[in-house]
Amino acid sequence: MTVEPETPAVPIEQATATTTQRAGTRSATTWQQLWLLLGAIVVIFFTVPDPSLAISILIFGLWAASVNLLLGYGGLVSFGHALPFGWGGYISGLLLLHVAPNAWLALGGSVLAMGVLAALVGAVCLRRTEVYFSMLTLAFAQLGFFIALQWRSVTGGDDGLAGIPSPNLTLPGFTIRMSSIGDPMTFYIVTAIIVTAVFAFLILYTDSPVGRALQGIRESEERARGCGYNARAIQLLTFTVSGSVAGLAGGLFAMLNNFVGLSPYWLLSGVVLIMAILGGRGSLFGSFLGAVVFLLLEHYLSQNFASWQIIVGAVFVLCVLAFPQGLWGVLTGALGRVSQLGRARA
Amino acid sequence: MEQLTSQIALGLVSGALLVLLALGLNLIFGMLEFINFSHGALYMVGAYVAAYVLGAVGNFWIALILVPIIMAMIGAALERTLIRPMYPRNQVDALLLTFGLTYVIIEGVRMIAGSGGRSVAGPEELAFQVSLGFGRPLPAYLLFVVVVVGLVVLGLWLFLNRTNVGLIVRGGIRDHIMIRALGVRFDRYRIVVFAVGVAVAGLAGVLTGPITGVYPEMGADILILAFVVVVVGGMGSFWGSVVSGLLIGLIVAITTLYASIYAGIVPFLLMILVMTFRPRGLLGTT
Amino acid sequence: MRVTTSSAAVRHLLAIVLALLLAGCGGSIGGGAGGGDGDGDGDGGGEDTASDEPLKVGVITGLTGAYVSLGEEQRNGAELAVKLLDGKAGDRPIEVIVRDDQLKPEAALREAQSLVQEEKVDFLTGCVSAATTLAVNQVAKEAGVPYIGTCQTEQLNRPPHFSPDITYHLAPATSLNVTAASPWICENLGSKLFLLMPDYAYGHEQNAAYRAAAGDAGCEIVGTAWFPLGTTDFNPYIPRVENSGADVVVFGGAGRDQVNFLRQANQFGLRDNLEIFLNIEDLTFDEELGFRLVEGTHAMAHFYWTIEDQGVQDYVEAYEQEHGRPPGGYSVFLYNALNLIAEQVAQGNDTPEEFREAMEGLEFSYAQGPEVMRECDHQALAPVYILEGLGADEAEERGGSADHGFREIIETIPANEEYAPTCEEVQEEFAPATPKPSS
Repeated sequence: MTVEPETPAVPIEQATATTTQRAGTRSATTWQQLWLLLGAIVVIFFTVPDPSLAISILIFGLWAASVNLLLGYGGLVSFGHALPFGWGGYISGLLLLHVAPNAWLALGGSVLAMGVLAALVGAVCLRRTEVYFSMLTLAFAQLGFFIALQWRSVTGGDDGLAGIPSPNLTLPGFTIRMSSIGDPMTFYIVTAIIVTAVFAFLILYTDSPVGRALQGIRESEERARGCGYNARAIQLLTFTVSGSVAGLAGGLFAMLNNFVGLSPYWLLSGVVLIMAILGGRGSLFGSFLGAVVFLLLEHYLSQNFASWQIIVGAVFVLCVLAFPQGLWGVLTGALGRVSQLGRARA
Repeated sequence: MEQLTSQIALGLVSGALLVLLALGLNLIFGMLEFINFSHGALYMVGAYVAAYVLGAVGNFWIALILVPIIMAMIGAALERTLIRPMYPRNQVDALLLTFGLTYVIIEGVRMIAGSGGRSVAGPEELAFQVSLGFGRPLPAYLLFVVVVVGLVVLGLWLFLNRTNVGLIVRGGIRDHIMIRALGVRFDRYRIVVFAVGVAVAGLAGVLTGPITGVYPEMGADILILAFVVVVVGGMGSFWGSVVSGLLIGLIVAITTLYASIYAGIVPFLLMILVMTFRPRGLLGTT
Repeated sequence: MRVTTSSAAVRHLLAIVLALLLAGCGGSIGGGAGGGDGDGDGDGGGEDTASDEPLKVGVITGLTGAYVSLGEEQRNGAELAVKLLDGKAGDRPIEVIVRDDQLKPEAALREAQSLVQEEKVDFLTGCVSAATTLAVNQVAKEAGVPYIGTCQTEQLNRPPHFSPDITYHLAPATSLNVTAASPWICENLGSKLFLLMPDYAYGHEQNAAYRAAAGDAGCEIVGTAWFPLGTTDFNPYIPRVENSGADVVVFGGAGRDQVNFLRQANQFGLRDNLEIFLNIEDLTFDEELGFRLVEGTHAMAHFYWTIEDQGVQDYVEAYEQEHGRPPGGYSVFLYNALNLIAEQVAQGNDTPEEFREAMEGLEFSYAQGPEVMRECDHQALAPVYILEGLGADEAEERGGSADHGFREIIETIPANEEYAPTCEEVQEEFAPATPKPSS
């Protein structure tokens, strides 16, 4: 659904940056997100004790960033973002199983196929706005889930698609075998490079004229139309980009596990939304941070406390209620104050 | 043919319970423009409260009266604390807040009442079967449920159209300063509407208990279906929800008869179709 | 991101990041964990093991989600086994690490990976759903860690899932029990069966198994209807069952689906004209049913707490002492799994290769009666029991309780390889025919 035009979107302060001067500042901070991401990737590398969890964090972070492209930048709440993630996994898995164990082929296939799928689904869903948009994305996700469940000969149904071989990543001069259990370090580094590159692309996208127009449409579709933008086309392009990135994340997840499982898509879509909002809708790095926090909470709480979801739920409610800008917003707000204080003293 | 008529009757029974859930959801949306994702969780809480009340007093009829009252109070408390701050915010935030609240409620119930479900005994007086003159005889309790739903639909309609609550709240959503200037304590009316919506969810919980038992996840899947009902009928449209709830119950029942494997997906296909050809829902207005 | 964020703030953050980085270097990818020793393809695990090094067993089961009671039973079973073994496998202390798969494959994968990489477990076991067992099996295969499956599925014994080096299956393959029980059903309950099956893999496996077994058993399948997992409203299925002309309705759902179906069937008086046969029974389901709904139904089971067998009764007694009620059918798998692992490790069979050699063809009897581990697909062949639900009066005399009703064992079908798919059949992928919608 789109944000109501008449309600000021207070939480997303970025939108208020309209003057050229402030837009310049934003550009600088926008690129700092990439440095933060690199920092986070290094920290995770050295601190998270479980290699597969570390790799999962990168993948879910990318997925959360892709949903945030719609949510935070486009004001579009998709309740069906598990569709490109799940089916991105199937595409990669099937290509690796039946065509060739080649990572480029698998990931390329996922990106391309999910881009096409997202364009088709988006073309239908974006004809409606607000709750109707959300419900339509949900309906398509349910449809995708139903097909995955019933088409057993291809997807394995709820038994899952198993036995996906670990792919080879061919680069000029050498080839890497991507085995998450056999050689998690290599897998992590390759994933980190892919995630960083896609992140950079997403930053470029949000900072491009199209990305800015997208944020304009979020604030007021009428005004954006008045300025001569084709709102529908811009939203559709974003939906497609977001779907491709989610497909890529799904493909990486299939490689990590050598397996594609099936769990209800509306639940999975909800989880990724929680990650994005927990971290912060205002920036791509925020949603990445949300994935980090969610997965670490899940990993450590679930071992010690059976009702860990109540904590996640409560934190989430608190977040929406009191800190709509998410953890990242709280963090930058606090640090901003600290550094201002520091400068005042100096 | 007899099989088909039985199936139609059963479809309408299933539809009636969907109508009840969808109406509460739609009431809150239509009047307050608030999307309450926690509606399914509150329905579950209603069913649990009913199970406890039944355990304490052992009389279904007391539970039937008492639970909606308790749920209305819970609803009012919820409105006061968590919901009210969300009115000035956009619908997306409301949806997300209640989405998180759902997690908290379900886990909370698991912690208090355990993860397993429990049985709820229906009223002894209705433990017989009634012949309708067509199809197979149906359990009297199911027919009783349909009657109650009918009464609730009528009552809600009167509440919205024969009292000034509906008028005031709708006016207040458009221009709450003007309503306040007229000396109306708008906030109180909003509480009433929210509480009534939650009470209806609680009533649905009481009625469902003897059919399915109660368990923590009982509101999760059915809520998605209730949303589909509301959207297909038209968001904010009272009779839309009634018609679409019955329709979806019927379609699912008939699909079960002829192609049971598709029973889970037809409501969503219907929704995509309706959204494509009647964007505002079957009876929705722009 | 906020516009007001100055670059100074970001610099601060980077400083914190750096500090964190320097602070924590122990046990991470960067800290050198993972690496070679988990290296898949069969060569792992052969390290020399000092006798006092703990034997680590990872248990992955559903501790949240729809089958939480089964998951808790599995945890209880594993813990009870360790307790009765005095925490030791020979000289080695046993350490059991329990993780929650939330019934979701993606969580099962993550926990399994964490167990093999972070905890470096020697064995994996546990599961309450086919979707998670196959996920865990995949990780076990990659890591070369033996995995003992403990839930009903046809797939674990077959390609592409089965790996002779690491996969073992203690729970029956779906068709095994169906083939064993069909002759009894057809002889004693009626010759026309209607199958009411959950629309997921387990239901489709049952459908295929009944259709394959019915002819030889002297039965006819008059129809199958599918219901989505988690169905609350079974009412629309009732007329279809009644009008099918069936004598028996075989219900294939577990847990809450089963409870809901029996409750609604009861409201409709379905049992007046039809026999109800439950393809899966568990005491935890019966706890929600009570005497009234258990009475008069028949079911098959791989375990019931009244089995007359010394091993079973020792286990039941210990379980009752620990938890105040008899065990259901799912804790026994974990109890057996832990006993199997501990006994083999105590005998020095602690590498995957030695374990495999010892397990193949092994005859054992812990808490489920005499069993044998078939060599070709590592399927445990165990007896199957036919149960009849008793009413309150009779049941209470025999030790039943209002909490979980009582079922009488009216037939014991000894383990027999003939009931299992043949060793040739399990070389092929399992593919039940895609059901016709209106079959």
